Amino acid sequence: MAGAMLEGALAAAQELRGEEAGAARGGAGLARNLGIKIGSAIVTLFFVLVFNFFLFRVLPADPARNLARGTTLTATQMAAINKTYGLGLPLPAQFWNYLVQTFHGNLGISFEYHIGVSQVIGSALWPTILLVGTSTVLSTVIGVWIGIRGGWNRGSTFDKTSTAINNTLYAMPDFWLGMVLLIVFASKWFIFPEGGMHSFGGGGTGLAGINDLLWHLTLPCIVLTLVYLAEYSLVMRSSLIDELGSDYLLTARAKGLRDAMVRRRHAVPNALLPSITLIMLNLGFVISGAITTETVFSWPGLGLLSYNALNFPDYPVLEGAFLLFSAAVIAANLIADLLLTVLDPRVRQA
Amino acid sequence: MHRSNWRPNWRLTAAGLALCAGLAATGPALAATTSATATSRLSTASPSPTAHGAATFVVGDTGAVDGMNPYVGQTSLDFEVYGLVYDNLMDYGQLNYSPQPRLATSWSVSKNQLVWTYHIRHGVKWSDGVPLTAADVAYTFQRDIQPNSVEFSDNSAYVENITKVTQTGPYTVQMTVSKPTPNMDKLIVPILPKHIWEHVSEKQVSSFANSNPVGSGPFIVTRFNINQSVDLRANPSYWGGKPGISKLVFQNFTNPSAEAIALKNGSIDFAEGLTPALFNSLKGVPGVTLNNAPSGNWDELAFNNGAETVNNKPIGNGNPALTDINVRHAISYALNRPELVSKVLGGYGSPGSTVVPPIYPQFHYAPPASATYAYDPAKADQILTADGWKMGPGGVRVKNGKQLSLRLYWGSDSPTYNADAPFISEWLSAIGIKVTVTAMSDSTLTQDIGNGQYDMFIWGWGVEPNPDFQLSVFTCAQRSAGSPPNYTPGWSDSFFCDKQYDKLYLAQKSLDGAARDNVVRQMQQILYADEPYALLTYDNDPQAYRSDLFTGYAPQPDTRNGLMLFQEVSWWSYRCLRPVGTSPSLTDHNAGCQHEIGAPVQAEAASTGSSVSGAMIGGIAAAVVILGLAGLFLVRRRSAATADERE
Repeated sequence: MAGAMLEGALAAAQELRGEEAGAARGGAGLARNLGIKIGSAIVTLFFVLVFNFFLFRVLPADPARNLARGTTLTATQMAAINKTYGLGLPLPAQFWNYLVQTFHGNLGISFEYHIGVSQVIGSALWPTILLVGTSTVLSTVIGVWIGIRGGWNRGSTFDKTSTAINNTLYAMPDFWLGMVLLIVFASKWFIFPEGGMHSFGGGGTGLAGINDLLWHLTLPCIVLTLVYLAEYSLVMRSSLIDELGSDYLLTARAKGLRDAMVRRRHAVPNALLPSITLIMLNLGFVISGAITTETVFSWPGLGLLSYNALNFPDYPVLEGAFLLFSAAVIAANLIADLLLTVLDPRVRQA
Repeated sequence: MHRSNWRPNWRLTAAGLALCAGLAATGPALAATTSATATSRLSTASPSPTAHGAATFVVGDTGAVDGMNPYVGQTSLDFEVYGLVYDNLMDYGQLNYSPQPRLATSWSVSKNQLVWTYHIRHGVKWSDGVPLTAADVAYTFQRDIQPNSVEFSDNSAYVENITKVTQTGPYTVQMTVSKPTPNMDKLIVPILPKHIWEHVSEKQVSSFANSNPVGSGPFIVTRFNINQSVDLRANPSYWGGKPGISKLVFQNFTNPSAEAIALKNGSIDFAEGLTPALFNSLKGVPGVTLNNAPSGNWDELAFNNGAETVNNKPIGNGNPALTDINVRHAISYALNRPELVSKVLGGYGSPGSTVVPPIYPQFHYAPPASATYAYDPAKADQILTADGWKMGPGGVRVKNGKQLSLRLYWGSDSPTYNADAPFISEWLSAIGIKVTVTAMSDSTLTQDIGNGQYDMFIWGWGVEPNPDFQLSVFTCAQRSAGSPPNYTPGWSDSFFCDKQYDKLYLAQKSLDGAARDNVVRQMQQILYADEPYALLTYDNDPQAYRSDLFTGYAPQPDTRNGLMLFQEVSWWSYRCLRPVGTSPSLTDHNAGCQHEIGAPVQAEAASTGSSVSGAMIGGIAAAVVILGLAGLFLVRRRSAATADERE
């Protein structure tokens, strides 16, 4: 299963590279290439915007009724709420409003929190970037390193052990690992906190505050790092193994280069390309948070926010969050494309 | 093949490890310092202000706070916070829910019962230093009675009869009502500062964040983080004396297991919203007291009693079989309520009967044993057969060629309803009713109910000390209004409509005391006999708290298993809680609880206290002894364990 998925990812990465080559064929300049990529990203984003709007309008349940949950409302009051939130307008007019407001950075007012959506999302953005961002960097660096070491010495004890561990971690649900760590390190021994981002009642200011934050970050970060590390490690390992028999490595060795130099200067740069695609794609998902890990550790990030918004249902927050998530993935894709253009001469020159 | 060579790749290794070290190495080091602080909360008997502060009281809850604007907040935690930040004119008493003075020191009503005069407390200041006067009180109520406003809809239960509010002196307010309204002595409406809210227009009120609320209550908000916590500090100049805790934190846990661990570790002092299994897991933890408190909540199996609009126009597609009282009774007899209590609620509840729960003994109607719908499938069979429902093919009853086939809906968000549904559907199948089950979102269910497109559903209500609203739910006027395809749902979700009941509902509004109690009981009797709902369970609220760190809880009702916090529209304990080892000041008591656990029983408390039976006291005493022994055993084991850890 995991193997098939990895192969799929690899194939996708290869295909991506193929497409790049195709797009650049005909000797088009780098500038034109860039223009096409940025342009298509913008078009994609616009489609997301359109889709986003209509998706939330076809959902069942009357938003005004939800808004009024817990209170007795007359029909007149309902009409007033509809007017306040612009819900009573015909659909095209609502859509136009939505476009204009979005371009002004106004994502509407949250049904649940009764403040601006951008403010709500903003408050959850930093915790998510901190947690998922840190763990992504850690899992990337550690994973790629393990992959290189394992792949270069295929069949070694290190390779066998790390592959076995990687497969176990890859198959491990993050909420389960999270609960196990909580039970061991917060309940059995009270070494790490039970959840949240700060000690209850405030974690102090300055250096003490940072200490407190890191203390709270440790367990959820370890969970996400361990669970995602395997993916990078396995991809890196197999792409390095693909390069092992290449002629250019033989040439490099024939030139008399040391083994480590052959690996570092020649093999790794070539083998790194699929990993870079994977890393960039995953970076796009950093923003959308890690719903299950955030829930286990009561981490107030965007994953948790969108889950709550879905339950409420808080359509403006959901719309805003989806827009942000999509934009992040599109941006990460664009950067991956551009980065590959720079890193891979085949893409550049076709 | 290739041999590994450590030296040249040190850079990569170092880069990876350095980043990892940022966490892995600092983590335990930090933990050593931080956990030392955390455990010190448990080990110091006397309140010495540590990094956290021994007088910081942390409440863990699985719910979260939506915001600080009292007109738009909806969660139970929202109201818990508003009641601490703002003062009401009066409170439901801790001992028996009788109205107690808060911002209003006294009140009186004119002879014709239409004009109420309130005397406002002198010398009260808002948290920004501005004096609080009758002008603020008048302003708040004037704002609340504007027709069709957000303010009105939020407080309509209290202010619907008020026609005029005038300030008649610096500390007196007069309110005129359209008809005699005895409940004008129970106005649980937060009084807001005029000098802040007059700048918030009616248009802005629904999106006003109120991020730094200015209130007159015992606590002041210092920080509010969405989905994290609300931090408050004691109001040093509270008119009733500074509370015994200096900081109060409401901490959100999205993982209830972590909340239970936090209570065990002493990181939090009170745990709300624990599941029965987690609650049980805290049994015997030293320093933790478990309180299985009956609450005002209950769950019901509601029937479509023939959906009609307020204009008596039939709507929806409910199975007409349910308009037959015999079918409803048969279903009720088929429900094994004690089984739901033990299997679904884990024992934390009791079988349900009438719509005003037993924690309000003044109003609760307890049907005589002979008239209760005790589990009796044979009787259910008998009723259905006598009613003409013959057993047909596939074990489904048939009458006039129609199968007895009913839809059962519930909101999928609730673990309780998810667990109730299979039991109910099995019991009904056993008496020959075909049940089709569907779990859906609350909002979809609300709309289906409003449109009358259902047969049965599982849901629940929370009943306030004044049962007026709950009783109103069953009046004819609460049926759906509007036009197809989507009707505007009223509060009625059974479409029950009975002229006699409506008459009594209006009558109880202008009655007080024993006369009202009787009418309220009579109304419950009508509902119980007609069964628009079959009540399933009265739910308890399992509350676990650290009794080794803080003391001074003021349970409501005033029994050992009364609600400690999250009381029904009341906030007694917060004003009196204090670290163990400190003594309450007299002023705390004047403003706070009327009677706390452990304090000498006051004269008024004696009457309420006597309702606790001898058997119950015996049981509690036995439990205390057992818990004490268990605690001792665990403490010994624990100290042995820590000794090991030190080595």
